[in-house]
Parts: sequence; C-alpha cells; structure tokens
Amino acid sequence: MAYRSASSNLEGRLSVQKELAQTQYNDRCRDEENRLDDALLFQAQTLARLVQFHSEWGKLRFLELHTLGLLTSGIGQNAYISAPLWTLNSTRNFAMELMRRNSPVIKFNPAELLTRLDGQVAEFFQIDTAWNASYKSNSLNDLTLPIDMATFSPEEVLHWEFDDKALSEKVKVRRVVLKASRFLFGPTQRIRTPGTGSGRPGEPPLPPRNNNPQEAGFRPAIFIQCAYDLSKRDILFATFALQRDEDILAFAREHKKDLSEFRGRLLAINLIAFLTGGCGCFWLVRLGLAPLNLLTQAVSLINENDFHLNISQQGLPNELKPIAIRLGLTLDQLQKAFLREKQATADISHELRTPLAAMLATIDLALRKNRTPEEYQAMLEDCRQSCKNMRDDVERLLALARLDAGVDLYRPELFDLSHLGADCIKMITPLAQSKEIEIKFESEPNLELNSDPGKLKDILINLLHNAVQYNKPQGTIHLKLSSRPGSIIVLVADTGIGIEPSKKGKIFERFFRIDSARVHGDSTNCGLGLALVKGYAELLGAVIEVQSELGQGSVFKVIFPAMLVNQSLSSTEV
Amino acid sequence: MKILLVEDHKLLARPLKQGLEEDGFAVDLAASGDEADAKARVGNYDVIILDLMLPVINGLTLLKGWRKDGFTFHILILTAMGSLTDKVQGLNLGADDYLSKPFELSELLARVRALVRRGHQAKDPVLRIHDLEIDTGAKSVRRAGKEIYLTPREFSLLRFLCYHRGKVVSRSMVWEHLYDENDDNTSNVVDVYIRYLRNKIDKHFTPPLILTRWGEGYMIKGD
Repeated sequence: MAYRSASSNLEGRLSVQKELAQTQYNDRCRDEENRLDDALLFQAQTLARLVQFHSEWGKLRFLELHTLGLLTSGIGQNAYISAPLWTLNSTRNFAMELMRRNSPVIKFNPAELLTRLDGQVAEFFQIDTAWNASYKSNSLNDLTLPIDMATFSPEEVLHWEFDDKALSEKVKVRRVVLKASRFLFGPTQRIRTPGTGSGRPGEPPLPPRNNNPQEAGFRPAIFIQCAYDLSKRDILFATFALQRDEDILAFAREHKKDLSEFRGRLLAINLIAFLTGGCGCFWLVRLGLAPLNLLTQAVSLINENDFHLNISQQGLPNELKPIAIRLGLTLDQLQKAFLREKQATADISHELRTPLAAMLATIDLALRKNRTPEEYQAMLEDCRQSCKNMRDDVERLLALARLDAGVDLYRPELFDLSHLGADCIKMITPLAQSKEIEIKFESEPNLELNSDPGKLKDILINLLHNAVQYNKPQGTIHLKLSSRPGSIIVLVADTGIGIEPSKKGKIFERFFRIDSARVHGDSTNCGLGLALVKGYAELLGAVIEVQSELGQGSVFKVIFPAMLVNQSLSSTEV
Repeated sequence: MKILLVEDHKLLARPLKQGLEEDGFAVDLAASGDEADAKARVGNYDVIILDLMLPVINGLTLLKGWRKDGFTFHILILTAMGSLTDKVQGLNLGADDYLSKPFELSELLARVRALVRRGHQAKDPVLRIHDLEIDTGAKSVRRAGKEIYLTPREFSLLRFLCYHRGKVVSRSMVWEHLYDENDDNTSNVVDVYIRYLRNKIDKHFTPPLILTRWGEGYMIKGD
C-alpha cells in the first residue's frame, strides 16, 4: 500500500515535471516567437524611419517653400511668414503629387541600413510605397513578398500585421506587414502606438486611433515587409524540443531510479519487519503455549493406574486453569467409571462362576461312583437349576448391555396389560409356592394400551421376583394394575424384609444386593434385576416410587405415561 | 475329620458337602459370615472351607479374626475372583490354601486331605502302623499285604485313630471328629464301629493294633 501511494506520488511528480517541461518548451517557443516578431516589427519600423529620412524630404520642403515664396511674393512683404501655414494645407495634395513624381525610387544607403539593423532576424525585407518606389532585400532574390497595397488596411494610418506565408515551395516565412505614412514618424514618436496589436495572443485589442480616413488617403503610405525563414525558427524550436525531451528523459530516468530505490527500500523494510514480526510472533506464541506443554506432559503421564493430573494450579495462566480443573474432574469421573467397570467385571465373573462351580461340583459328584437313578435325577435337577440361574443372569446382563449401547428400542404394540399381569403371576407362582407366599392380583378389567409389552413384562417379572425373594416365609405379594388419565400405575407390594432408608437410592445400582438377601434367597439374581427395571422404566418414560419399612415390607410403584385405547375415545366425548 | 463348609450358594454347598462326606469327612454348613464365626469358635474343626464372598461378614474379615484369636484350624479359601490380589491377600492373612471357582471336586478333596495330613504332621499319605498300610489318597487299606475293604465311616475312624497313634482318643473326641451335628449323639455308635473295625483289621491278624483303655477310650498302637 505504501508502495502504491508512494509510486503514485512519484508518478504525479513525474507528470508535473513533464508538464513543466512542456510548459517551459511552450514558453520558450512562444518567447522566441515573440522575440522574433518583436525583432521583425522593430526592423520594419526602423526601415520605415529610414525610408522617411532618406527620401528627398529636403528637396520637397525647399520646393514647397519656393512655391510658397512664388505664390506670396505678389501679396506683400510680410506675407510669406504666415503664408506657409495655409499653403501647406492647400498645397498638400500638390506636394503629394510633386513627391510622387519626384521620388520614384527609395534611395538609401544599404550599408547604413545594415548597421542600423541590429536585430538581424529578418532575412527578407521589402519596402513598397504608394508612389511605386520599392526596394527588396538581396536575400529575396526573385521571390516577392506579396502585398496588396490597396486593400491592406486602407483606412488606417499605422497598422501592422503578422502572418505566415509560403514564398515558394521550400521557403516558409513569418512576416510582418507594416503600413506607415511617411510623415508620421518623428524621432520622438513612440513606435508602439495604440491602434492595433501585434497579433500576439493575450493582448487585448486596444481602441483604434482616431484616424481620419481622408487624411490617411492623402498621406503617402509606405509598406514595409519583414520576414524571416521559418525553417530557422523551426530548427530552433526543434532544439528546444530536443532539450525538452532530454529533460523529460532525465526526469523519467530520475523517476525510475527513485522508484526502484524506493521499492528496494520498501522491500528491505518489509523483509526486516516480516522477519522480526515472524520471530517475535513465534517467540510470543511459544511463550504463550509453554504452559500448554506443561499440561500436555502432565496429561501424558496419566495411565490406567494413575488418574491424577500431576500439575500445580499456580503455574498455569488464567486461560488454562479452567481446562486443568475440568480435566481433573473428568479424570476423576473416568477413574470412578473405570473402577466401577473393574468392579462390575469382577462382580460378573463372580456371579457366573459360582453357578458354574455348583454345576461342575454336582456333575463331578454324580460321576464319582455308581448311584441310584433317583440320586442322578436329583443331581441333574440341581444342574438344571444352576443352568437356569446362569441363563437368567446372562439374559439380564445382555439386556443391560443393550440398554447401555442404546440398541434397545421402544417397540410399541397394542396389548392388554391385565393379561400380561396375569401371565407374570402365573410364572412367579411356583417360586412363591415354594416359600408359601400368597399372591394377590388386582387389575382394572380393560387395560388395552399401546406400549412395549416385552419391557413391561420384564419389569413386572423382576419386581415380582424380588417380592418373592425378599419376602418372609408365608408372606404376601400384591400386584395391582390401575389407570389414571394419561398414565398407568403398576404397584408391587410385599411383606418382606424391607429396605434400609440409606440403601434406598442404591438398590437400583447394578450388582447391588442387600446382604441379607443372600441368606433368604437362592441368590439367583446377581443384583441386576432392579437395574434392569430402572433402565426399561427410563425407556418408557416412567417414574419409579419406592416405599419401604425395615422389617415390614416394600412397595414399588411404576407410573408410566400411556393412553388407554378406549380412554382416548372417551376423552374426546368429554 | 470335621470340616466346616462356609458357602452361601446352596446349589454349590450341597454337592460339596455330599462329596466330602462320601470321602469320609464330617461336614457342617454355614451360609453367612456370622453363622460361620459362631460355629468355628465353638466347633472343633480340622479344616474350614471358606468362601470369600459372604453376606453379613466378609470371608477375609473372618479369616483375620480367627487367626488373631489363635485358632489353628486349617483354612482353605474358595474365591470366584481369581485375581492375584485375592489369593495373595488370603494367604497372607493366614489361609493355608486356596481354590478358585469353578474347580473340580477331586481337586478340592485332594487339597482338603493334604491339609488334614499337614495338621497331623503326617507328610506321607500312606499311614503305616506295623504291617497296616493306610493309603489315605487311594482309600485302600492293607494289612500284611492283604487288601481290606472298609466303609467310609470305618475308614475315617481308622484314619482318625492313626493320626492320633499312640494317643488315647476318647469316645467324645471320636464323636466330634467323625459325626456332624445332625447325627444323634449316642456313644454306642463309636463302640459299634470300633468293633466293626476290629473285625476287619485285627481279627485275623496279629498283633492287635486297636487297644482299649477302659474308662478313657481307644488307641491304635503299632509297637
């Protein structure tokens, strides 16, 4: 940008310089022209004066006076004193005539002429007079400066004009045509009189002299023409032009030099600035990112055994502190999750290994020696039971894994909840009977709704299973299915051992089992039942409520949003 | 040989108990930590088979407590974890041996037998008294080269006597070590089985090995 502005400045300067040169040239030409014209005019005027002086003026006066004496000698002795005045007037024409006849030739000394011509500009000059006396300069040879004496400013006494004329094919001249009356020029008279300008541009035309046309006609006119060869002037102009061009060239060269110098300087500055800027930036960035290096190092030290972020909070700038804190928190959570997973893996392995050990032990025992068929049967039954337990656990684990992965979807279909409830009761009855537990089933008659029956069944089975397992012998289970506008309530109550208030929140955790359950139950489920219930409830958008009293029993309530098929119809009626 | 089996999974405890009993041991069961603690301190067990994952009181905690209080019965821990830390921790806290589930029944029995041997300072699995050879591993009995068949009860009684060779065992001792709490306590049973034993190993051989100390009990002696 700087370059552009500077270069435009320089170019402006160059153009100004060019203009200046041009103007200079123009001025010089003009000055030269004017000088030449002035010289021409001066020459012409000088010539005119010379002509006047060298004409036979004395002779004419003498003649006039003699004529005057002759005329007035008869009148009186004093008459010739005042006589010249009026005779002069009246004999003006006469004198003119005389002059005309007596001076056909303009005689003057060329040598004197040459010494008096000091301008030396005009190469050609020509003098024509009204009484047909003419003179041509030698340089003219056979050429003639044309002039029309009759038409050239006939009304004026003194008049000059400039013009350019081509004398011949090769010769072009600038000439001045000066018309002057013989008697006008006196030694004290100014040459430049107001009348006509010299044709120079810029000079305002002055009011013409009050010339009496009649008087002008009587005065014998002299036509002086001075001219100089234009080719000489053109040569001069050419040298001016050459000089101007040389000047312009010099300017251009200077301009170029300046520009390149400027460019070079600018480039150097830019380069230096860029380098220092780059280095500075680099250094600054490095400085700024140094604490990031610290953080990176600390992070790289983290492995699965050590989740602690080993970095001091003080050493970090304010921008990085929140990151470090957040990272620390995240690592804590990660560690907890890690531990939980380790724990879960351990739990799973324990849970599955025990039924396996049981099965293996039973089979080993069966094969140790010959036994009765009844014994074999009993042992096979035990094996079967272990297998079923393992299957149930694996199913639950898989279900939870599916939930975790988000693969399990909500699959709605139309079904009757009361039928589902009855089915579940049927499934749980054998187990309940083995513990002599009474089952009470209560349901609204028509609970046809659109929901996921598979998941609801799992929820019911798990809750009922728990109710049986954690129940006291000869206790009761109560399953109640009811509806409210917009939601369904599943209630499972038992007269079991109850849940400690402090443990209420934890029962839905995976692998969590209340210790005493191991004594009462078959320890068939590995603590996944309620976790599964919670997972499925979330999928259905349900809410779980738990009420329990230690030693008395527990009530599990699952409320999930659903519309009964006929309820939707009836609500529109209302 | 009396064994306390501490295991809360009934489906595992049952076959184990049966297996041990068929091998000649008397087995008591405990299904929770507190139950186990109570029984261990009172009963006179040779070996306690201890599952680590127990309700109420943890297996390792029991272990620590027993050793601190000076109980010298042998402890074999059953662990489902199988991780190094559990085994090492268990052994360091005073267990004598460990087994990780699932295991072969035969392995469990062998280890229990080894523990019993250790308890009685008998490194040789074959007990020899005079010309009586008792292979505790193979469960075979020979006297003067001749093979004798014994029932499990007889065998365990003979083994018990042999482990206490040269010492007098009272009837109640015999009773405690050979019969679990579910059997009826009639001292006559001991006498009856002594007689069966004598019939088998002493009757046709000389010298008689099983001796009676009146008012005190019985003894087996080889020299």
